[in-house]
Amino acid sequence: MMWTVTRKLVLTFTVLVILIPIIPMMLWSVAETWTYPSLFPSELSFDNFTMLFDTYSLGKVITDSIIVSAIVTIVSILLAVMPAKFIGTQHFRGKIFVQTLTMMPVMAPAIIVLFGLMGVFVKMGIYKTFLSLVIAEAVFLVPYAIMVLVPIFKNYDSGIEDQASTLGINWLSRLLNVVLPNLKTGLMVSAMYVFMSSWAAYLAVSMFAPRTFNTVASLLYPAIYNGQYSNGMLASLTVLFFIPSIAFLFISTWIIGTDKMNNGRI
Amino acid sequence: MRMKLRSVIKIMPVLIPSLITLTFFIWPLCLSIEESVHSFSGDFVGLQNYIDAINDPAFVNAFVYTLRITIIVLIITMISSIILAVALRRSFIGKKLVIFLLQTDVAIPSLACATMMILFLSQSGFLSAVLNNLGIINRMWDFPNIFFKSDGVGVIVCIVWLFVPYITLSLLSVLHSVSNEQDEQAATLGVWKIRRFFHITLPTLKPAIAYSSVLCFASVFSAFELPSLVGDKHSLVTLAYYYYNTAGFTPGHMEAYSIAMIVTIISLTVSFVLMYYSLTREEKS
Repeated sequence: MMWTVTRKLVLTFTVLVILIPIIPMMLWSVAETWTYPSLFPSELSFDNFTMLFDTYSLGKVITDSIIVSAIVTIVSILLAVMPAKFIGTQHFRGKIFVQTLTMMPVMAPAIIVLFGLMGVFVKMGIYKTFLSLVIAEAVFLVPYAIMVLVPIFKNYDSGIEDQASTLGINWLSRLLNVVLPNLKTGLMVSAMYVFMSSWAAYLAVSMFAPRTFNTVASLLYPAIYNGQYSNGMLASLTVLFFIPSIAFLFISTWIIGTDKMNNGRI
Repeated sequence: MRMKLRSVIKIMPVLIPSLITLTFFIWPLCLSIEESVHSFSGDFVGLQNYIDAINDPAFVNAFVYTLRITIIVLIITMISSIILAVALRRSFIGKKLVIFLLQTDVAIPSLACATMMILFLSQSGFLSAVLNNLGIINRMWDFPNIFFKSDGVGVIVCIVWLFVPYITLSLLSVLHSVSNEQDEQAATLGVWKIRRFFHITLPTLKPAIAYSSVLCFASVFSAFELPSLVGDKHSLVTLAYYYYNTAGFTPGHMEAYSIAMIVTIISLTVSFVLMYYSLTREEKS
């Protein structure tokens, strides 16, 4: 009895702790005026959003953010599929070492690699270009994608692929026509997580993006740091920043649910 | 010979992507190491930059501050996550909602978390207004200021808020994947809940706890965004970034590399040991 009550208390507290901080931000984003200590804004409007789009060309910034995140996602997933398949399906000596080595970019602090990447990009002549930004983000997201894909490959039935191989189909064709369609759901979910991480990345953008290039994250960080925005504008920019993450969460939950219903597995 | 060549060609699709990624990780890492042992005029100075960094009071302060935050976050996060995961193990009405909320929290980026917490927990924030309306505080200044303080409470609150749901979900997936049989047998034999927790549940969670601790330690120790946005003092990474950006080609610029290297060595050593332990346990089981 006491255990059940304690559990209910713990869970209620958790729900409140997670949910309540989100509410003031949502309210601030549509607040025209909201003075302390009122619990609700006295007037509501979408002026904060309109002002952001008019003053900071937010439409272009959002488009640029989507483009860079989409490219980083495609590159990361393409580079991650085969190593993840190898680690997930094969048993070999030193597998743990290989796995740990692959994860190193995730474990190492991003800052040291980003400092060094600057020198690399200068040597390659691509410093502060779109390509340097994509590479800088992909370095950290490929291991992340591998980490997400390995468990999916552990449940992967390689029988059809072996048959295709016996029939003499080359590895690229096997990858495009057998492996990828078979892992559609898992790949979509991991792609969403990679997209979300790229969307939220700030450091790489601040160091390697071309001078006039901005993402929502690179606009939001100085907005919080310098305190130059009003609470309303800061909240509306943050809402625009985290809406894609929440949308992707809904979509991936729905995809996993649908797939479980259809196949009984991911 | 031909067989060997064929097997090398066979693993090329696996090797090439890994090599590309590792190249853009190891090459810059080597360049950073190289920079960290050279002066700003390009002369080899050995470990002088490291000695300068260690003797720099700003480094010592940042090191103590970072370590303190990391350890506090790690302890609070792991204990809270274990309690939550155990509480969520059994089925009950509303379980799906709680899990969905935890997943929502995981999806929130750290920059968004900073804004949310500032609007919620600052002195003019929502919680302060609620307490004022309840008559618990009279003015907004009566509400404790947790952000931009040297004790780092604001940073700790934000990171814990972001990490607890993530680690809870990882531990919960482990609890869901193992059979409840042992626990039920022990319950039938009249073993107390606390005893069952320490002798059955906790050993089951051990590898997952080690793995989660790696992620938590590595992320908090090398965190940049939250310490710089809601903290007052420099953490090791924000200090390195500050030196890198503001010092130009001065000795401070080279110190940025040595500080970043020290963070990397500590972070990688701890992560590597815990990760290896976790994977070995996983392989065995």
